[in-house]
Amino acid sequence: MSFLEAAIGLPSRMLGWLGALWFRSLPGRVIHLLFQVLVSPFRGNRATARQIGEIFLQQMYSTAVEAALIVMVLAAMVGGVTLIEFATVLPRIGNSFFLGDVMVLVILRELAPLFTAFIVAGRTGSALATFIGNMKVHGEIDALESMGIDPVRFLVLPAVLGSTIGMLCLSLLFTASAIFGGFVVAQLLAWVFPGFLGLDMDISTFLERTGMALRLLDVVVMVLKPISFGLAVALLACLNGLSLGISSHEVPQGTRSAVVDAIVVVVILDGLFAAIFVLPQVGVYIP
Amino acid sequence: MSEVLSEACGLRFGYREDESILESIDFEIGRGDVRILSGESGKGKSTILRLLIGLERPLPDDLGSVTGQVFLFGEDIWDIPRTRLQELRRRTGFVFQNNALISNMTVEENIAVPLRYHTALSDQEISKVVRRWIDLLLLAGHEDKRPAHLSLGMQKRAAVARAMAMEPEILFLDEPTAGLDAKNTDIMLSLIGNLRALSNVAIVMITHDLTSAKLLGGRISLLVDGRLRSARTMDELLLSVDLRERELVRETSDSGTRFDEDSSFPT
Repeated sequence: MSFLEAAIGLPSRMLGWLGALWFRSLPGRVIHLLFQVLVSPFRGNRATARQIGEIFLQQMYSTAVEAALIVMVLAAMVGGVTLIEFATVLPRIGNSFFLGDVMVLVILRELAPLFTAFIVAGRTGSALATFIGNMKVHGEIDALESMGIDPVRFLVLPAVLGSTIGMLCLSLLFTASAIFGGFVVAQLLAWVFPGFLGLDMDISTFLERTGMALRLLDVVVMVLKPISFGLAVALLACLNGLSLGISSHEVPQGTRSAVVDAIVVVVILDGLFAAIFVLPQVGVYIP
Repeated sequence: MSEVLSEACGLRFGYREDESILESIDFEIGRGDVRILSGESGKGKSTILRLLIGLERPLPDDLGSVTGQVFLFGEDIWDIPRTRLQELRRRTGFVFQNNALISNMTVEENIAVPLRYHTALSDQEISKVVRRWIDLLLLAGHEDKRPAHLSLGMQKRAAVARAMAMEPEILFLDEPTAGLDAKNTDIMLSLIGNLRALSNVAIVMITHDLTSAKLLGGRISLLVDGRLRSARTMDELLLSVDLRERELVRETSDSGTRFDEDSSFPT
């Protein structure tokens, strides 16, 4: 091979290596799976929708409905603790009038999507990774492929859709439960412990202040965050399940990776949301 | 020969570049034909079947561990889009060694999966088709059971029913009688024979029990040292000059009934 040929071949070989490296990396594999999920509705015939619809509803039920109670209880506790903390601190540093802003900022924008994502990662993510992992290990994914069935369209698409929409519903439920339940918990605590400062307002004033603090950007974040977190949790669960080999001992490893990866990615995404939606408002952002 | 449905040319397979499990595999099967693949365990017979329908294929960054060509219904399956391969696979049926039934679905639902995915049939029409296969494969009374609640023989018959649901032109069977007792083996073989008579489906079957080859009337290809020997009848193999072939045939057929160790073979 001449020097010229080597010089010409080097960039293409480097591109090949970089491509292989990208497709083996976690971000590369997640984005590749996301792409497959996005194009899968346009493959196959319309009859498929019937089968997919059932899996989608099952997934949404297990993600949202089955987790609703635990989310409501947890949200009420978190909302109560947050209210107590700020209701104690705010009068010292100024005015408790800002309690509504605090609830919107802390619960609606941060805690609700994060807590819900952790619950969904622990419940749905682990279950989904185990389910798909077991199918992979027992050759059921190969069986689907052998029948000409696209596992992404048949399993991953409805699972991802169901988990993502379920996650959005759960996050909204968390927000509502944290605000209403939190208020009740805080009032209860003020009643049990008379020395506690409590909330010097009734529920309608509290809701009015919270409503006044709510801006369009908060609503956008309230919707976008759970969707992106749910998407990440479900994609990582499916990816970890589908990446398994043929040995049963790999299933718990895949499940663990699905949960850990999801938590890490959710926190990173949360940071990105802060960078995109919060930093521009405090003047740190340099356009 | 009749129209070739599945074909492999110069196939080489290994999990690493410097490792070769299968070497120079040439294979073809025509419409309505029966081909039996046999050989020692763990030497790559199932891999050949997986290669024939594209479950094993070169990866994008493959450095030469899988080479050759595989054709399904005349199309090079390594050179066509994934969606086209899925379309071709609708015309095939595959029964895995471990049956690979979907564990959270009943027998009825398992058989209905390809019909619900690929066809626009109504639920009633699908039930009718599924009922037919349940009756044909002697699964009546077990249609509402999940695979874990079935005997091995029933699981295998359910897997065959699912593979036949789309009325394929070619049926790949990976050891459909493995682990079955003599009675269930006979049932399975006669059912496969019936399916062939019913639909003229081409059959590629892996088995260690070469008596089945005689029953189904197919030609046998032996996999020896990673190479697939040319297809021959049982009688031809029994008269083979190759000692390895004769040993394999003896090991995989009813011991002693057709093979006499002292008999002289042409040299």
